[in-house]
Amino acid sequence: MSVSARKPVDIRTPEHALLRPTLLGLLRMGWLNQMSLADVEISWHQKHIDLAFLSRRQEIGPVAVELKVNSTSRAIAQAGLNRYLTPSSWAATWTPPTARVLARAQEEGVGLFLVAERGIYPLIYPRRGQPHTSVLADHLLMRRRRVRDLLSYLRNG
Amino acid sequence: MADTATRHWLSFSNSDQRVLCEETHGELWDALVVPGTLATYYKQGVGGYVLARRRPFVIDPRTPLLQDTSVTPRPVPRASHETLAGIHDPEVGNIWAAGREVGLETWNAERWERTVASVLKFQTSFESDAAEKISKYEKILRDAGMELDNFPVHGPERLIPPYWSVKGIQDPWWRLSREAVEYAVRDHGPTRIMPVLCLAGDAPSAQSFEELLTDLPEGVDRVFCWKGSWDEAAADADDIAGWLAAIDVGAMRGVDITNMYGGALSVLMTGLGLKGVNHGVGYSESRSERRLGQTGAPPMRYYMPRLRQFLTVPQAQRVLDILGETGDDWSCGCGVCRGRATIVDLKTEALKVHFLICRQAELAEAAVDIATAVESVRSDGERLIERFANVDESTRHTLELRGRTLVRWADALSSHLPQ
Repeated sequence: MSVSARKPVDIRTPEHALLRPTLLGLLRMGWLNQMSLADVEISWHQKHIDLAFLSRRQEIGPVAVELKVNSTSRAIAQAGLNRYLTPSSWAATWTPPTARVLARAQEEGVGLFLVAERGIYPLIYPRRGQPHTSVLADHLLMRRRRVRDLLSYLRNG
Repeated sequence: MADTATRHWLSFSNSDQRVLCEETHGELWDALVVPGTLATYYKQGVGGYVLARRRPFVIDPRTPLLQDTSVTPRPVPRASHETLAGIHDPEVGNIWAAGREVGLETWNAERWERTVASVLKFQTSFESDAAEKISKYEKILRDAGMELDNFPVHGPERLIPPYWSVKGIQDPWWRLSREAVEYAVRDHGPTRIMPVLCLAGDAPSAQSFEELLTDLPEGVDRVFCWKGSWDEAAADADDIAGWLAAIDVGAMRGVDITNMYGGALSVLMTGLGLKGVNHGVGYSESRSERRLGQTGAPPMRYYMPRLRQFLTVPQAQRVLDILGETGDDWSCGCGVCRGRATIVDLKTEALKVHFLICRQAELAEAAVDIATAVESVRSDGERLIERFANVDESTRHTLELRGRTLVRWADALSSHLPQ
Protein backbone atom coordinates (compact mmCIF):
# COMPACT_ATOMS: atom_id res chain seq x y z
CA MET A 1 0.00 0.00 0.00
CA SER A 2 1.49 3.33 -0.98
CA VAL A 3 1.16 6.65 0.76
CA SER A 4 -0.34 9.49 -1.14
CA ALA A 5 -0.71 13.17 -0.47
CA ARG A 6 -3.24 15.82 -1.14
CA LYS A 7 -2.14 19.35 -1.91
CA PRO A 8 -1.91 21.33 1.35
CA VAL A 9 -4.69 23.56 0.18
CA ASP A 10 -7.39 23.39 2.80
CA ILE A 11 -5.76 22.26 6.00
CA ARG A 12 -8.05 24.12 8.35
CA THR A 13 -7.89 21.79 11.27
CA PRO A 14 -6.82 23.25 14.61
CA GLU A 15 -3.52 21.40 14.08
CA HIS A 16 -2.83 23.73 11.18
CA ALA A 17 -1.84 26.33 13.73
CA LEU A 18 1.00 24.10 14.93
CA LEU A 19 2.51 23.47 11.54
CA ARG A 20 4.42 26.71 10.97
CA PRO A 21 5.93 26.99 14.47
CA THR A 22 6.90 23.31 14.24
CA LEU A 23 8.63 23.79 10.90
CA LEU A 24 10.37 26.98 12.07
CA GLY A 25 11.42 25.26 15.26
CA LEU A 26 12.87 22.31 13.35
CA LEU A 27 14.75 24.76 11.10
CA ARG A 28 16.22 26.58 14.11
CA MET A 29 17.35 23.29 15.61
CA GLY A 30 19.02 22.40 12.33
CA TRP A 31 17.03 19.21 11.98
CA LEU A 32 16.09 20.27 8.48
CA ASN A 33 16.72 23.11 6.08
CA GLN A 34 14.70 24.91 3.43
CA MET A 35 15.58 22.31 0.81
CA SER A 36 14.76 19.27 2.92
CA LEU A 37 12.13 17.04 1.42
CA ALA A 38 8.93 17.38 3.43
CA ASP A 39 5.21 16.94 3.03
CA VAL A 40 1.95 17.25 4.96
CA GLU A 41 -1.33 15.34 5.21
CA ILE A 42 0.18 12.17 3.83
CA SER A 43 -2.47 9.51 3.67
CA TRP A 44 -1.56 5.98 4.72
CA HIS A 45 -4.09 3.25 5.35
CA GLN A 46 -7.06 5.35 6.36
CA LYS A 47 -5.01 7.77 8.45
CA HIS A 48 -2.95 10.86 7.66
CA ILE A 49 0.54 11.76 8.78
CA ASP A 50 0.41 15.45 9.62
CA LEU A 51 4.02 16.22 8.74
CA ALA A 52 6.94 14.16 7.47
CA PHE A 53 10.41 15.11 6.34
CA LEU A 54 13.63 13.43 5.34
CA SER A 55 16.25 14.06 7.96
CA ARG A 56 19.61 15.49 6.96
CA ARG A 57 21.14 12.61 8.86
CA GLN A 58 20.95 9.46 6.80
CA GLU A 59 20.92 7.18 9.82
CA ILE A 60 17.66 8.82 10.94
CA GLY A 61 15.88 8.71 7.60
CA PRO A 62 12.29 9.93 7.40
CA VAL A 63 10.72 11.62 10.40
CA ALA A 64 6.96 11.62 11.04
CA VAL A 65 5.22 14.16 13.26
CA GLU A 66 1.64 14.05 14.56
CA LEU A 67 0.38 17.52 15.50
CA LYS A 68 -2.27 17.90 18.17
CA VAL A 69 -3.55 21.07 19.81
CA ASN A 70 -5.04 19.01 22.61
CA SER A 71 -5.53 15.28 23.20
CA THR A 72 -1.82 14.58 23.29
CA SER A 73 -2.68 10.98 24.15
CA ARG A 74 -4.33 10.62 20.79
CA ALA A 75 -1.30 12.13 19.07
CA ILE A 76 0.91 9.62 20.88
CA ALA A 77 -1.33 6.74 19.77
CA GLN A 78 -1.17 7.98 16.15
CA ALA A 79 2.59 8.47 16.41
CA GLY A 80 2.82 4.94 17.76
CA LEU A 81 1.25 3.62 14.56
CA ASN A 82 3.62 5.80 12.52
CA ARG A 83 6.54 3.86 14.02
CA TYR A 84 5.78 1.17 11.45
CA LEU A 85 6.79 3.75 8.84
CA THR A 86 9.76 5.13 10.73
CA PRO A 87 11.15 4.74 14.23
CA SER A 88 11.67 8.54 14.20
CA SER A 89 8.07 9.17 15.06
CA TRP A 90 7.03 12.21 17.10
CA ALA A 91 3.96 13.83 18.56
CA ALA A 92 3.92 17.64 18.80
CA THR A 93 1.61 19.61 21.05
CA TRP A 94 1.07 23.08 22.53
CA THR A 95 -0.08 21.54 25.79
CA PRO A 96 2.58 20.79 28.41
CA PRO A 97 2.24 17.06 29.01
CA THR A 98 1.55 15.48 32.34
CA ALA A 99 3.81 12.82 33.82
CA ARG A 100 1.27 10.23 32.74
CA VAL A 101 1.41 11.42 29.13
CA LEU A 102 5.19 11.41 29.18
CA ALA A 103 5.17 7.86 30.51
CA ARG A 104 2.76 6.86 27.76
CA ALA A 105 5.02 8.35 25.08
CA GLN A 106 7.96 6.41 26.48
CA GLU A 107 5.96 3.20 26.50
CA GLU A 108 4.99 3.74 22.87
CA GLY A 109 8.55 4.57 21.92
CA VAL A 110 7.61 7.89 20.34
CA GLY A 111 9.21 11.28 20.76
CA LEU A 112 7.39 14.30 22.12
CA PHE A 113 7.85 17.97 21.13
CA LEU A 114 6.43 20.86 23.05
CA VAL A 115 5.60 23.60 20.55
CA ALA A 116 5.81 27.25 21.53
CA GLU A 117 5.68 30.53 19.61
CA ARG A 118 9.44 30.80 19.50
CA GLY A 119 10.43 27.21 18.95
CA ILE A 120 9.94 23.57 19.75
CA TYR A 121 11.40 21.62 22.62
CA PRO A 122 12.05 17.89 22.42
CA LEU A 123 10.92 16.42 25.73
CA ILE A 124 11.40 12.75 24.90
CA TYR A 125 13.26 11.12 22.06
CA PRO A 126 11.80 8.16 20.14
CA ARG A 127 13.10 4.67 20.74
CA ARG A 128 15.44 3.28 18.10
CA GLY A 129 14.14 0.64 15.76
CA GLN A 130 13.60 -0.38 12.16
CA PRO A 131 10.79 0.68 9.85
CA HIS A 132 8.52 -2.09 8.61
CA THR A 133 8.23 -0.47 5.19
CA SER A 134 9.99 2.14 3.09
CA VAL A 135 6.82 3.76 1.74
CA LEU A 136 7.24 7.03 3.67
CA ALA A 137 10.77 7.64 2.44
CA ASP A 138 9.71 6.58 -1.07
CA HIS A 139 6.83 9.05 -0.97
CA LEU A 140 9.01 11.98 0.10
CA LEU A 141 11.57 11.17 -2.58
CA MET A 142 8.94 10.83 -5.27
CA ARG A 143 6.88 13.85 -4.30
CA ARG A 144 9.89 16.14 -4.01
CA ARG A 145 8.08 18.83 -2.07
CA ARG A 146 10.41 20.85 0.10
CA VAL A 147 10.22 22.76 3.36
CA ARG A 148 10.40 26.05 1.48
CA ASP A 149 7.29 25.00 -0.50
CA LEU A 150 5.38 24.29 2.69
CA LEU A 151 6.45 27.57 4.28
CA SER A 152 5.52 29.47 1.15
CA TYR A 153 2.08 27.87 1.18
CA LEU A 154 1.63 28.69 4.86
CA ARG A 155 2.64 32.28 4.23
CA ASN A 156 0.46 32.81 1.18
CA GLY A 157 -2.44 30.46 1.91
CA MET B 1 -34.38 -28.77 -6.19
CA ALA B 2 -32.03 -26.24 -4.65
CA ASP B 3 -28.30 -26.85 -4.62
CA THR B 4 -27.55 -27.92 -1.03
CA ALA B 5 -23.91 -26.86 -0.82
CA THR B 6 -23.10 -23.65 1.05
CA ARG B 7 -22.25 -20.87 -1.34
CA HIS B 8 -19.60 -18.21 -0.88
CA TRP B 9 -20.77 -15.21 -2.87
CA LEU B 10 -18.79 -12.08 -3.62
CA SER B 11 -20.18 -8.67 -4.54
CA PHE B 12 -18.44 -7.85 -7.80
CA SER B 13 -16.37 -4.72 -8.18
CA ASN B 14 -14.20 -3.79 -11.17
CA SER B 15 -11.26 -3.31 -8.81
CA ASP B 16 -11.43 -7.01 -7.87
CA GLN B 17 -10.98 -8.43 -11.37
CA ARG B 18 -7.41 -9.51 -10.71
CA VAL B 19 -8.03 -11.12 -7.36
CA LEU B 20 -11.04 -12.98 -8.72
CA CYS B 21 -8.60 -14.83 -10.98
CA GLU B 22 -6.35 -15.80 -8.08
CA GLU B 23 -6.58 -19.55 -7.75
CA THR B 24 -3.09 -20.55 -6.69
CA HIS B 25 -4.53 -20.93 -3.19
CA GLY B 26 -7.46 -23.00 -4.37
CA GLU B 27 -10.91 -21.78 -5.27
CA LEU B 28 -11.61 -18.89 -2.96
CA TRP B 29 -15.22 -18.12 -3.88
CA ASP B 30 -18.19 -19.74 -5.57
CA ALA B 31 -20.35 -17.12 -7.24
CA LEU B 32 -20.70 -13.41 -7.92
CA VAL B 33 -23.40 -10.87 -7.18
CA VAL B 34 -23.04 -8.21 -9.86
CA PRO B 35 -24.55 -4.84 -8.87
CA GLY B 36 -27.13 -3.66 -11.37
CA THR B 37 -25.46 -0.25 -11.44
CA LEU B 38 -22.26 -1.77 -12.85
CA ALA B 39 -24.07 -4.22 -15.12
CA THR B 40 -26.09 -1.43 -16.73
CA TYR B 41 -23.48 1.33 -16.88
CA TYR B 42 -20.44 -0.77 -17.82
CA LYS B 43 -22.49 -3.36 -19.60
CA GLN B 44 -19.90 -4.54 -22.11
CA GLY B 45 -16.91 -4.29 -19.78
CA VAL B 46 -18.59 -6.01 -16.83
CA GLY B 47 -20.41 -8.40 -19.13
CA GLY B 48 -17.24 -9.29 -20.97
CA TYR B 49 -15.37 -10.09 -17.77
CA VAL B 50 -18.18 -11.88 -15.93
CA LEU B 51 -19.20 -13.99 -18.93
CA ALA B 52 -15.58 -14.79 -19.79
CA ARG B 53 -14.91 -15.81 -16.20
CA ARG B 54 -17.45 -18.61 -16.59
CA ARG B 55 -18.45 -18.79 -12.95
CA PRO B 56 -22.00 -18.54 -11.59
CA PHE B 57 -23.33 -15.03 -11.15
CA VAL B 58 -26.52 -13.09 -10.61
CA ILE B 59 -27.36 -9.46 -11.32
CA ASP B 60 -28.80 -7.53 -8.39
CA PRO B 61 -31.24 -4.90 -9.67
CA ARG B 62 -30.71 -2.87 -6.44
CA THR B 63 -34.21 -1.44 -6.72
CA PRO B 64 -34.08 0.20 -3.23
CA LEU B 65 -31.70 2.73 -4.81
CA LEU B 66 -34.81 4.14 -6.54
CA GLN B 67 -36.89 4.11 -3.40
CA ASP B 68 -38.12 7.34 -1.86
CA THR B 69 -35.36 8.38 0.54
CA SER B 70 -37.06 11.25 2.27
CA VAL B 71 -35.29 10.26 5.47
CA THR B 72 -31.83 10.29 3.95
CA PRO B 73 -31.32 13.01 1.28
CA ARG B 74 -30.54 11.54 -2.11
CA PRO B 75 -27.10 12.50 -3.41
CA VAL B 76 -27.00 13.75 -7.01
CA PRO B 77 -27.74 10.61 -9.08
CA ARG B 78 -24.69 9.24 -10.79
CA ALA B 79 -24.78 8.07 -14.37
CA SER B 80 -24.88 4.45 -13.18
CA HIS B 81 -27.94 5.22 -11.03
CA GLU B 82 -29.65 6.59 -14.10
CA THR B 83 -28.84 3.54 -16.21
CA LEU B 84 -30.11 1.33 -13.39
CA ALA B 85 -33.28 3.39 -13.22
CA GLY B 86 -33.57 3.07 -16.99
CA ILE B 87 -33.90 -0.71 -16.91
CA HIS B 88 -36.69 -0.32 -14.35
CA ASP B 89 -38.68 2.53 -15.87
CA PRO B 90 -37.42 5.43 -17.99
CA GLU B 91 -39.73 7.83 -16.15
CA VAL B 92 -37.65 7.52 -12.95
CA GLY B 93 -34.79 9.55 -14.42
CA ASN B 94 -37.21 12.32 -15.43
CA ILE B 95 -38.71 12.43 -11.96
CA TRP B 96 -35.26 12.72 -10.38
CA ALA B 97 -34.28 15.41 -12.86
CA ALA B 98 -37.30 17.40 -11.70
CA GLY B 99 -35.93 17.20 -8.15
CA ARG B 100 -38.64 14.85 -6.92
CA GLU B 101 -38.61 11.39 -5.44
CA VAL B 102 -40.33 8.37 -6.92
CA GLY B 103 -43.11 7.53 -4.49
CA LEU B 104 -45.14 4.40 -3.99
CA GLU B 105 -48.02 5.89 -6.00
CA THR B 106 -45.84 5.96 -9.13
CA TRP B 107 -45.91 2.19 -9.33
CA ASN B 108 -49.42 1.44 -10.50
CA ALA B 109 -50.24 -2.13 -11.50
CA GLU B 110 -49.53 -1.70 -15.18
CA ARG B 111 -46.26 0.20 -14.72
CA TRP B 112 -44.98 -2.25 -12.10
CA GLU B 113 -45.67 -5.30 -14.24
CA ARG B 114 -43.83 -3.60 -17.13
CA THR B 115 -40.94 -2.79 -14.80
CA VAL B 116 -40.62 -6.37 -13.59
CA ALA B 117 -40.58 -7.62 -17.17
CA SER B 118 -37.98 -5.02 -18.16
CA VAL B 119 -35.63 -5.81 -15.26
CA LEU B 120 -35.84 -9.55 -15.92
CA LYS B 121 -35.38 -9.08 -19.66
CA PHE B 122 -32.16 -7.17 -18.98
CA GLN B 123 -30.92 -10.20 -17.05
CA THR B 124 -32.10 -12.89 -19.48
CA SER B 125 -30.58 -11.08 -22.44
CA PHE B 126 -27.29 -10.28 -20.67
CA GLU B 127 -25.50 -13.28 -22.07
CA SER B 128 -26.16 -12.21 -25.64
CA ASP B 129 -26.26 -8.43 -25.24
CA ALA B 130 -23.20 -7.96 -22.99
CA ALA B 131 -20.74 -10.16 -24.85
CA GLU B 132 -19.07 -7.65 -27.19
CA LYS B 133 -15.84 -7.70 -25.20
CA ILE B 134 -15.85 -11.33 -24.14
CA SER B 135 -12.95 -12.22 -26.44
CA LYS B 136 -10.80 -9.47 -24.93
CA TYR B 137 -11.37 -10.81 -21.41
CA GLU B 138 -10.98 -14.43 -22.47
CA LYS B 139 -7.52 -13.57 -23.77
CA ILE B 140 -6.64 -11.77 -20.56
CA LEU B 141 -7.80 -14.72 -18.48
CA ARG B 142 -5.99 -17.29 -20.63
CA ASP B 143 -2.81 -15.21 -20.46
CA ALA B 144 -3.22 -15.30 -16.67
CA GLY B 145 -3.23 -19.09 -16.83
CA MET B 146 -6.96 -19.77 -16.55
CA GLU B 147 -8.37 -22.81 -18.28
CA LEU B 148 -11.61 -21.78 -20.01
CA ASP B 149 -12.19 -24.22 -22.83
CA ASN B 150 -14.00 -26.86 -20.80
CA PHE B 151 -16.48 -24.43 -19.37
CA PRO B 152 -19.47 -23.02 -21.26
CA VAL B 153 -20.48 -19.36 -21.17
CA HIS B 154 -23.67 -18.80 -19.22
CA GLY B 155 -25.82 -15.82 -18.38
CA PRO B 156 -27.06 -15.21 -14.83
CA GLU B 157 -27.58 -18.46 -12.94
CA ARG B 158 -30.76 -17.13 -11.36
CA LEU B 159 -32.88 -14.05 -12.03
CA ILE B 160 -33.56 -11.45 -9.36
CA PRO B 161 -36.87 -9.61 -9.71
CA PRO B 162 -36.96 -5.96 -8.67
CA TYR B 163 -37.58 -5.56 -4.96
CA TRP B 164 -38.05 -2.87 -2.37
CA SER B 165 -36.87 -2.33 1.16
CA VAL B 166 -39.74 -3.16 3.55
CA LYS B 167 -40.42 -3.04 7.26
CA GLY B 168 -42.58 -6.15 7.26
CA ILE B 169 -45.44 -7.88 5.59
CA GLN B 170 -47.83 -4.97 6.22
CA ASP B 171 -45.54 -2.52 4.48
CA PRO B 172 -47.19 -1.44 1.18
CA TRP B 173 -43.83 -1.77 -0.56
CA TRP B 174 -43.98 -5.51 0.25
CA ARG B 175 -47.09 -5.90 -1.91
CA LEU B 176 -45.07 -4.68 -4.92
CA SER B 177 -42.07 -6.89 -4.06
CA ARG B 178 -44.33 -9.93 -3.75
CA GLU B 179 -46.07 -9.15 -7.02
CA ALA B 180 -42.69 -8.96 -8.70
CA VAL B 181 -41.90 -12.46 -7.45
CA GLU B 182 -45.29 -13.67 -8.69
CA TYR B 183 -44.71 -12.24 -12.17
CA ALA B 184 -41.21 -13.75 -12.24
CA VAL B 185 -42.54 -17.17 -11.19
CA ARG B 186 -45.27 -16.93 -13.83
CA ASP B 187 -42.89 -16.02 -16.64
CA HIS B 188 -39.74 -17.95 -15.74
CA GLY B 189 -40.64 -20.61 -13.18
CA PRO B 190 -39.89 -20.59 -9.45
CA THR B 191 -36.56 -22.37 -9.68
CA ARG B 192 -35.20 -19.89 -12.20
CA ILE B 193 -35.36 -17.00 -9.76
CA MET B 194 -33.69 -15.98 -6.50
CA PRO B 195 -35.58 -13.02 -5.02
CA VAL B 196 -34.09 -10.58 -2.51
CA LEU B 197 -36.04 -10.06 0.71
CA CYS B 198 -34.82 -6.68 1.95
CA LEU B 199 -35.74 -5.69 5.48
CA ALA B 200 -35.23 -2.02 6.23
CA GLY B 201 -32.62 -1.14 8.81
CA ASP B 202 -35.31 0.07 11.18
CA ALA B 203 -37.45 -3.06 10.84
CA PRO B 204 -37.87 -4.65 14.28
CA SER B 205 -35.62 -7.70 13.79
CA ALA B 206 -34.48 -10.40 11.43
CA GLN B 207 -37.43 -12.39 12.69
CA SER B 208 -39.57 -10.34 10.28
CA PHE B 209 -38.05 -12.45 7.51
CA GLU B 210 -40.25 -15.31 8.74
CA GLU B 211 -43.48 -13.63 7.68
CA LEU B 212 -42.02 -12.58 4.31
CA LEU B 213 -40.83 -16.13 3.66
CA THR B 214 -44.22 -17.52 4.59
CA ASP B 215 -45.87 -15.13 2.15
CA LEU B 216 -43.72 -16.07 -0.86
CA PRO B 217 -45.35 -17.81 -3.80
CA GLU B 218 -45.05 -21.58 -3.78
CA GLY B 219 -42.08 -23.16 -5.44
CA VAL B 220 -39.50 -20.45 -4.76
CA ASP B 221 -36.52 -22.38 -3.45
CA ARG B 222 -33.72 -19.84 -2.97
CA VAL B 223 -33.68 -16.27 -1.66
CA PHE B 224 -31.24 -13.61 -0.57
CA CYS B 225 -32.14 -12.08 2.79
CA TRP B 226 -30.80 -8.59 3.49
CA LYS B 227 -31.28 -6.89 6.86
CA GLY B 228 -30.35 -3.26 6.25
CA SER B 229 -27.41 -1.98 8.27
CA TRP B 230 -27.18 -5.15 10.32
CA ASP B 231 -23.94 -4.91 12.25
CA GLU B 232 -22.68 -8.32 13.30
CA ALA B 233 -20.45 -6.76 15.95
CA ALA B 234 -23.56 -5.46 17.71
CA ALA B 235 -25.59 -8.66 17.22
CA ASP B 236 -27.20 -10.01 20.36
CA ALA B 237 -28.89 -13.30 21.14
CA ASP B 238 -32.25 -12.05 19.81
CA ASP B 239 -30.74 -11.00 16.47
CA ILE B 240 -29.09 -14.37 16.02
CA ALA B 241 -32.23 -16.21 17.11
CA GLY B 242 -34.20 -14.16 14.57
CA TRP B 243 -31.93 -15.23 11.73
CA LEU B 244 -31.95 -18.86 12.80
CA ALA B 245 -35.73 -18.83 13.11
CA ALA B 246 -35.97 -17.45 9.58
CA ILE B 247 -33.59 -20.16 8.37
CA ASP B 248 -35.81 -22.79 10.01
CA VAL B 249 -38.97 -21.35 8.45
CA GLY B 250 -37.21 -21.30 5.10
CA ALA B 251 -36.15 -24.91 5.53
CA MET B 252 -39.72 -25.97 6.34
CA ARG B 253 -40.92 -24.30 3.13
CA GLY B 254 -38.03 -25.66 1.07
CA VAL B 255 -36.39 -22.23 0.72
CA ASP B 256 -32.63 -21.88 1.05
CA ILE B 257 -31.50 -18.54 2.49
CA THR B 258 -28.33 -16.63 1.67
CA ASN B 259 -27.37 -13.55 3.67
CA MET B 260 -26.89 -10.75 1.14
CA TYR B 261 -24.39 -8.88 3.34
CA GLY B 262 -22.69 -10.86 6.06
CA GLY B 263 -19.37 -11.62 7.69
CA ALA B 264 -17.89 -14.04 10.18
CA LEU B 265 -21.06 -14.44 12.25
CA SER B 266 -23.06 -15.29 9.14
CA VAL B 267 -20.35 -17.77 8.19
CA LEU B 268 -20.90 -19.49 11.53
CA MET B 269 -24.63 -19.59 10.79
CA THR B 270 -23.89 -21.53 7.60
CA GLY B 271 -23.13 -24.37 9.99
CA LEU B 272 -26.68 -24.03 11.28
CA GLY B 273 -28.56 -23.96 8.00
CA LEU B 274 -27.77 -20.64 6.31
CA LYS B 275 -27.05 -21.63 2.72
CA GLY B 276 -24.72 -18.84 1.70
CA VAL B 277 -23.04 -15.58 2.55
CA ASN B 278 -22.31 -12.64 0.28
CA HIS B 279 -19.95 -9.72 0.85
CA GLY B 280 -17.45 -7.60 -1.01
CA VAL B 281 -13.77 -8.41 -1.03
CA GLY B 282 -12.89 -6.76 2.25
CA TYR B 283 -16.04 -4.66 2.61
CA SER B 284 -19.86 -4.75 2.56
CA GLU B 285 -20.36 -7.20 5.38
CA SER B 286 -23.12 -4.79 6.34
CA ARG B 287 -25.02 -2.52 3.96
CA SER B 288 -27.61 0.17 4.46
CA GLU B 289 -30.46 -0.03 1.99
CA ARG B 290 -30.75 3.76 2.26
CA ARG B 291 -27.19 4.42 1.16
CA LEU B 292 -26.94 2.40 -2.03
CA GLY B 293 -26.23 5.68 -3.79
CA GLN B 294 -22.96 6.01 -1.92
CA THR B 295 -20.79 3.43 -3.63
CA GLY B 296 -17.18 2.55 -4.17
CA ALA B 297 -15.07 0.04 -2.28
CA PRO B 298 -13.21 1.50 0.69
CA PRO B 299 -9.42 1.11 1.02
CA MET B 300 -8.45 -2.45 1.80
CA ARG B 301 -7.90 -3.50 5.42
CA TYR B 302 -6.31 -6.52 7.06
CA TYR B 303 -8.55 -9.35 8.20
CA MET B 304 -7.56 -10.66 11.62
CA PRO B 305 -8.71 -14.29 11.48
CA ARG B 306 -8.93 -15.01 15.18
CA LEU B 307 -10.61 -11.70 15.93
CA ARG B 308 -12.89 -12.33 12.91
CA GLN B 309 -12.59 -8.63 12.22
CA PHE B 310 -11.08 -6.13 9.82
CA LEU B 311 -8.59 -3.56 11.07
CA THR B 312 -6.55 -0.99 9.20
CA VAL B 313 -3.13 -2.40 8.39
CA PRO B 314 -1.24 -0.34 11.01
CA GLN B 315 -3.83 -1.15 13.66
CA ALA B 316 -3.65 -4.82 12.77
CA GLN B 317 0.13 -4.84 13.11
CA ARG B 318 -0.17 -3.10 16.46
CA VAL B 319 -2.71 -5.63 17.66
CA LEU B 320 -0.45 -8.49 16.56
CA ASP B 321 2.44 -6.89 18.44
CA ILE B 322 0.34 -6.50 21.58
CA LEU B 323 -1.06 -10.02 21.39
CA GLY B 324 2.41 -11.40 20.80
CA GLU B 325 3.82 -9.72 23.93
CA THR B 326 3.18 -12.81 26.02
CA GLY B 327 4.33 -15.22 23.33
CA ASP B 328 0.76 -16.04 22.26
CA ASP B 329 0.79 -16.28 18.47
CA TRP B 330 -2.25 -14.70 16.82
CA SER B 331 -0.59 -14.27 13.47
CA CYS B 332 -2.14 -15.75 10.35
CA GLY B 333 -0.61 -18.91 8.87
CA CYS B 334 -2.13 -18.58 5.42
CA GLY B 335 -0.06 -18.76 2.26
CA VAL B 336 0.13 -14.95 2.09
CA CYS B 337 1.07 -14.25 5.71
CA ARG B 338 3.07 -17.33 6.73
CA GLY B 339 6.63 -16.51 7.70
CA ARG B 340 6.22 -12.74 7.38
CA ALA B 341 7.87 -10.56 9.99
CA THR B 342 5.36 -7.80 9.30
CA ILE B 343 2.06 -7.33 7.51
CA VAL B 344 2.59 -3.59 7.06
CA ASP B 345 4.04 -3.93 3.58
CA LEU B 346 1.32 -6.19 2.19
CA LYS B 347 -0.08 -4.75 -1.02
CA THR B 348 -3.79 -4.46 -1.78
CA GLU B 349 -4.01 -7.64 -3.85
CA ALA B 350 -2.23 -9.64 -1.15
CA LEU B 351 -4.60 -8.26 1.51
CA LYS B 352 -7.55 -9.36 -0.61
CA VAL B 353 -6.19 -12.87 -1.22
CA HIS B 354 -5.35 -13.26 2.47
CA PHE B 355 -8.91 -12.31 3.39
CA LEU B 356 -10.45 -14.72 0.90
CA ILE B 357 -8.24 -17.56 2.15
CA CYS B 358 -9.32 -16.84 5.74
CA ARG B 359 -12.98 -16.64 4.76
CA GLN B 360 -12.83 -19.95 2.89
CA ALA B 361 -11.22 -21.57 5.92
CA GLU B 362 -14.01 -20.22 8.15
CA LEU B 363 -16.65 -21.60 5.82
CA ALA B 364 -14.95 -24.99 5.69
CA GLU B 365 -14.67 -25.12 9.48
CA ALA B 366 -18.36 -24.29 9.92
CA ALA B 367 -19.32 -26.93 7.37
CA VAL B 368 -17.22 -29.72 8.87
CA ASP B 369 -17.87 -29.21 12.59
CA ILE B 370 -19.94 -26.25 13.72
CA ALA B 371 -19.66 -27.13 17.41
CA THR B 372 -15.87 -26.96 17.28
CA ALA B 373 -16.02 -23.76 15.24
CA VAL B 374 -18.26 -22.11 17.85
CA GLU B 375 -16.03 -23.28 20.71
CA SER B 376 -13.01 -21.87 18.90
CA VAL B 377 -14.75 -18.48 18.77
CA ARG B 378 -15.56 -18.71 22.46
CA SER B 379 -12.03 -19.69 23.37
CA ASP B 380 -10.51 -16.77 21.48
CA GLY B 381 -13.02 -14.39 23.03
CA GLU B 382 -12.31 -15.62 26.55
CA ARG B 383 -8.57 -15.27 26.07
CA LEU B 384 -9.00 -11.66 25.00
CA ILE B 385 -11.20 -10.86 27.98
CA GLU B 386 -8.83 -12.58 30.38
CA ARG B 387 -5.83 -10.62 29.12
CA PHE B 388 -7.33 -7.22 28.61
CA ALA B 389 -10.21 -6.83 31.06
CA ASN B 390 -10.04 -3.52 32.93
CA VAL B 391 -7.07 -2.25 30.92
CA ASP B 392 -7.04 1.46 30.24
CA GLU B 393 -5.08 1.75 27.05
CA SER B 394 -7.41 2.17 24.09
CA THR B 395 -6.17 -0.62 21.77
CA ARG B 396 -6.11 -3.14 24.59
CA HIS B 397 -9.57 -2.04 25.68
CA THR B 398 -10.95 -2.58 22.17
CA LEU B 399 -9.49 -6.09 22.28
CA GLU B 400 -11.42 -6.78 25.46
CA LEU B 401 -14.59 -5.52 23.77
CA ARG B 402 -13.94 -7.74 20.78
CA GLY B 403 -13.52 -10.66 23.14
CA ARG B 404 -16.91 -9.94 24.66
CA THR B 405 -18.47 -9.83 21.18
CA LEU B 406 -17.01 -13.23 20.31
CA VAL B 407 -18.23 -14.78 23.56
CA ARG B 408 -21.67 -13.26 22.99
CA TRP B 409 -21.82 -14.87 19.53
CA ALA B 410 -20.70 -18.21 20.92
CA ASP B 411 -23.28 -18.12 23.71
CA ALA B 412 -26.09 -17.28 21.29
CA LEU B 413 -25.09 -19.94 18.75
CA SER B 414 -24.42 -22.65 21.33
CA SER B 415 -28.05 -22.85 22.30
CA HIS B 416 -28.91 -23.75 18.69
CA LEU B 417 -26.25 -26.39 18.12
CA PRO B 418 -27.50 -29.82 17.18
CA GLN B 419 -27.57 -32.12 20.22
